[in-house]
Amino acid sequence: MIDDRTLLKTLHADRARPDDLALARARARLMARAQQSPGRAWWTGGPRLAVAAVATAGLVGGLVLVQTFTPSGASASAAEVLDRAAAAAGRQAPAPLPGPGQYLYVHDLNAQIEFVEGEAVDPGRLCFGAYESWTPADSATPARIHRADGVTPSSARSPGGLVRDPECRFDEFTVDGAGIDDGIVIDAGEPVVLPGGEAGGSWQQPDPSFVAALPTDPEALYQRARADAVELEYEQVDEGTLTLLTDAAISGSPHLTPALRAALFRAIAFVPGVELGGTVSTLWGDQGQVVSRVEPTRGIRTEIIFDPAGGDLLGSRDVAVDGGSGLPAGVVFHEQARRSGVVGAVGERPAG
Amino acid sequence: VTTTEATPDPAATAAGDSDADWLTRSCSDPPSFGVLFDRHAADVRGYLARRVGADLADDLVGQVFLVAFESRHRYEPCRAAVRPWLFGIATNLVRRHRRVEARGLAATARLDPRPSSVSDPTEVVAGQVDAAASVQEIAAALAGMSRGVRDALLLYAWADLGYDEIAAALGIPVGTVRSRLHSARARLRPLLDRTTTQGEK
Repeated sequence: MIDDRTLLKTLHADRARPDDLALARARARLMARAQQSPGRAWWTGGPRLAVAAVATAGLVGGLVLVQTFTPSGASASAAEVLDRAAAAAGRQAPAPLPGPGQYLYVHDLNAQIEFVEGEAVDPGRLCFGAYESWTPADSATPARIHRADGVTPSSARSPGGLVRDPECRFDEFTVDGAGIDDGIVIDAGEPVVLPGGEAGGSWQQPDPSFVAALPTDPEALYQRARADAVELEYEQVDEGTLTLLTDAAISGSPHLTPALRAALFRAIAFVPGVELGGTVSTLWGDQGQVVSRVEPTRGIRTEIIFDPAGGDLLGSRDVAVDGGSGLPAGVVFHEQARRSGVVGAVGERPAG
Repeated sequence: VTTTEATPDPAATAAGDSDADWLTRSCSDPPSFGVLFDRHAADVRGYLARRVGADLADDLVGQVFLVAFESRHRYEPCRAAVRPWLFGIATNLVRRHRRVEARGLAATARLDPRPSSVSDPTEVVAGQVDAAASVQEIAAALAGMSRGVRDALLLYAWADLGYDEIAAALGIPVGTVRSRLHSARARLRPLLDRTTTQGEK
């Protein structure tokens, strides 16, 4: 009989073998940083390490140089729609910030095809998940998340009522023991992280300090997102750049100024391969204009749904295209839409 | 750990000097931090490589130690030993790349069933495991776990941390570690039971 630890060690054992060259490079980076840090003189191994550090710096520099801006960007029609949406976004009033005793409310609705062992159970069935979070204005008050998985709208495209769907067999969701549909209390001062998001200070959940560091010039913002996509090791940098810009725009963060929201929309126009799509309905039932990009290496078309007249990003979805994804072309296998607002209490929802 | 570019000062690795000693020393003598790299980098890289692949792990292992170096002044030895602290940093970095990990697990789960050529051939129980639980099934089980459960399980299995160390690495109560590992084992139980059955034949 074997134990669970032994069982798991059979997985990816080949990857775990030491790579002396990789470790030497990492050590050289560390030692180069240590050498710059205040402290006493370099230690006796210094000269040999310094050579390695120089070599590594050259390698890193070479990699960075490869990631230069490609000015192809979006098609003219897509750029026009994005510019129109940006202009409308720039005219919006700043989003209200929660005041004392108030909460930032975020309602995230998503749907995806269920996969079991890498195979789609039913390409025609989207299983829904709904998340609601209430994040207090002050860090001394606990936050709360509600989540429901494996559900379906009670009527098509009507998320007002979600019912359990026995055909959607998502694993039970838990956070530290709290189960499905339970209200999950987040300790005071801890970040509320919705699925697909990161803690504050990220493209997914922009906080004041993160926002303050973002440029409002669209091309500079695009370059910043692209650099982050490289740093975050997205396999396809263009796809990663689009993801980060979209994540920020749909985050619901009240810290995004109208000017920055406009810049995010215009920055998307710098991503190579962005094209104009048709008109679709979001999970909330809103009609929107699609701006899309196909990632040929993965057989996926990412569709971002805008309200160009209102200046809003309504949602996004992923669609299979021929080859790559393993799904029939045209199948929508993931959708997301998010709404946010300021409310006065946990459990309260914005009107409308 | 043997590196090709640098050989640590032999005195620096003298027995009897604890990780915490070297960490404290590095506050006034920054290059002393290299000793901690020499002691733990290979294990941290191995853990990362299993989770996100070798290429990304090669970059992340450097980030782990840079983050640790930059935050060494805030390290509290009473809260955690150095090793779980490093694995905690590594796990946080993995979270930034969880899409990479998820895609990797999904890809492994989709592999054609076959004898596990990707398993370590020197692993004495590999054949026993192959007979019952394929790498595809293990990957699928991991892919189906929540992030918190998977983090706890892989720190236990791939970083060889104990319950208290996992709690320190993740900044959660040890009771939560127990509940997460209990949940993970429930997922793995069918694979283990089949392995036991096969082994008893």
